[in-house]
Amino acid sequence: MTNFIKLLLIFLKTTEITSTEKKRSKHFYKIMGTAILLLIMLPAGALVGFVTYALSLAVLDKGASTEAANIVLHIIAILSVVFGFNVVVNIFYFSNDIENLLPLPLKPQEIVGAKFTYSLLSENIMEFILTVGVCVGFMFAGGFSFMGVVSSIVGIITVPIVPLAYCGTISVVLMYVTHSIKNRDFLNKITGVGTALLIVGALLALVGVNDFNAEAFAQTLASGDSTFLNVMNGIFPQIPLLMGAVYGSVSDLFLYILINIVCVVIFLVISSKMYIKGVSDINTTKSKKDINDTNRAISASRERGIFASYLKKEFLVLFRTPPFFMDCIAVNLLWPVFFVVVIILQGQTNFLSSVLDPYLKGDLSAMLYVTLGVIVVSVLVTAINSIASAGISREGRHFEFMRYIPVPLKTQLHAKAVASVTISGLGMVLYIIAFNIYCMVYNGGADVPATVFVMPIVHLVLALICVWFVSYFGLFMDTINPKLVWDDEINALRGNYNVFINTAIVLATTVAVCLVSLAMMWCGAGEGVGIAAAFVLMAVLSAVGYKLCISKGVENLMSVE
Amino acid sequence: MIKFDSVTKVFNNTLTAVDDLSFQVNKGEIVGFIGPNGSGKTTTIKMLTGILKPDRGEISVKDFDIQKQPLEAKKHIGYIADNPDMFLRLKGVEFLNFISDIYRVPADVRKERFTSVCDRFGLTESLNSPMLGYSHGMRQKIMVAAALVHNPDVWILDEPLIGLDPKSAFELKNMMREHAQGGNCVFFSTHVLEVAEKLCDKVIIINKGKLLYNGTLENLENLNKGKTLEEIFLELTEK
Repeated sequence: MTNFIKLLLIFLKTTEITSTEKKRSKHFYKIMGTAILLLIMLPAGALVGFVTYALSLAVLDKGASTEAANIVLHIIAILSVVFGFNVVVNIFYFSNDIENLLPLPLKPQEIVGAKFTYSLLSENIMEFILTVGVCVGFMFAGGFSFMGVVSSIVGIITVPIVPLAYCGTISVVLMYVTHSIKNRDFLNKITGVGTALLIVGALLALVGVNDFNAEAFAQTLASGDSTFLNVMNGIFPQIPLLMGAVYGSVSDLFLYILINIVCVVIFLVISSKMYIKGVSDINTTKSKKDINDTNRAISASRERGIFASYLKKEFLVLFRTPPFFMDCIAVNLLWPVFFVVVIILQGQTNFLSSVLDPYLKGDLSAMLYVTLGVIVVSVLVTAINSIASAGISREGRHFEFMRYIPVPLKTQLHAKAVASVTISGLGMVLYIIAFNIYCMVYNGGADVPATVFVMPIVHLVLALICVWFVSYFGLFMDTINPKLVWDDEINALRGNYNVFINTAIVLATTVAVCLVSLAMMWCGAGEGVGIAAAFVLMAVLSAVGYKLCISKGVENLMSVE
Repeated sequence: MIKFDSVTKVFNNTLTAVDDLSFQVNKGEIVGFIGPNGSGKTTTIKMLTGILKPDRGEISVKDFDIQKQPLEAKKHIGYIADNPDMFLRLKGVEFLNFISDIYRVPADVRKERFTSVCDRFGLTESLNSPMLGYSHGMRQKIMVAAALVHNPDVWILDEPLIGLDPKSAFELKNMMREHAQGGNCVFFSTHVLEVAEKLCDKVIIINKGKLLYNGTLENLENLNKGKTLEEIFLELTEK
């Protein structure tokens, strides 16, 4: 037990920032940590709480009890397993400390137990907050009670345990029985493909829903006929028990705790038998040896400009490193999924029609709304893909390389920003083309005014301005406190506050720009003036982001020690 | 070719890593930089290459001040860091091309240098594979190849022999000698006193950031008659 605690404390300690960074960025972390909590985590928790509250009210009206909260918690649990699996395997099997831990006289269950608890504490803050949302939302609908509050507190702390125990058990068994999975790149690829398949599956399931009807959905939940809920209750039996406890059942609370203990014990017993064999002979990519191949490659060597060569290096690193590819490149392709979700979930409200019909008739208000939509999506796409806002963090131990090569830091920052502008910009170009094709299909060949043909060009230019702003500003944000200490590429991005902070700031700024633009219209200055104002404001922000990055950003990089 | 003039580096206003250090490395010299762990060797090398900024004093390479004219100074440096795990997703040949582009090595010249350096280090077969699949020693060799691809005047090497197999270590030592004989200089840190004894024209010994000795090994041995280099080193650094 003491080995377990000592190991856990060491794992937690190694993730703390160093004393130099601590001193340099004490206030920065305080301010930005508060900003993340207030602008991202609490709103997300509040949203989940509201959804739970609304669904629970509907279900309680129909005589049922915890089904709505169960379904929300099940979705959170599924996401925990999907996104947690890769993290767990990387922490259990591919972290750099493994080679130092294995020769020590430690029991496998002590190593795995400490790593499991570390994963639980460090990777699930968001899940804790979402669970608070569910419990509070449910109690607002069903009523507060002493038992409910106690059970909620227990649940908030323990809800991620079972999903994480599933991830841990599956990974330990897989690593024990297979050989091919013992390559980190292979693992990253299959989990990436798995996630993509899950998203496509969810998309297809949504496409199958012709008319989403909240009333019918609540009725299905209340009647207990929901196949999804029944299956998920079997997979995560602790969730209905937790919500039962929050609803007032003492026996459910005891059963809930018992299931958590059983899952952890099973996981530890399996780990004690299988972990050591699984963790041995872990490998990475093998190099092939071919002299002719090398001679051809040397002959093909050609000279490039410094900027072009640096940019090429950025692209190669982004495309060839599986975690960077998944989180920075492939994530850009998720946005059409959200668009389809909007189309489907609008159901009978015809939200899209109410915007698209006037837009295609040349209505200026609709044009302003669509333009503001383009601004928000462009900003979000670029901020979330983190190409820029983790541009320096991605260097990790290579950071010193930036300082000893005879290339000005300004040039290196430009290359990193241009990598972000290119990838995010290409994504936006594709979306704008796709959106306009959708409009053409939707319009069915009817006549449209000339202004409708001009708007795609306006949107393209505006999208690129937004991408430029977020890229340079994001890179600047990452120069303030780059996360340079990580032992696995996946950790360069996960838990990197710079990405969250950048997203929160640019989103808040963009919302302010949109409000100014709408205010122009509401004040009677006209929609054209509103669009022009958005254009000018985003251009000014781009110039500010650019200036900050190449002046203050360079200074920041010079002062990193 | 290298000039350190009263250089001091303090971390967090509390830890003096390098304390008023002055020395010179001249043309044709191989200089070994020796000191116990935590003595300030790596901090010194990092200041010399422009990675860290000194708090006081001046550093110049080929008469270019590393702080005031960093780009000019860095163009003359070939630096091998203590950790060869760099840009492992790139293929060896891609990494060498990237470095060659940075140092503006013409295409025909670089092809010749790639072939020459890789032949000497036995890298040729694996050069078109990602460096992630290389062993530690192979990664070290590719870092050596990359540091030398632009034929720099000043070689700065941080523990360059660690991880190299005997043949590659032998080759690198020969290359260091050839380089110095060609009117250039080599400044390298090492813990291996035998290497310093056999290879260096001069040694600089530091401890706790302070200079303890700067001169030839012959002179050092004359000052401490009857003692081995190891004994002299221990005496100096344990005072």
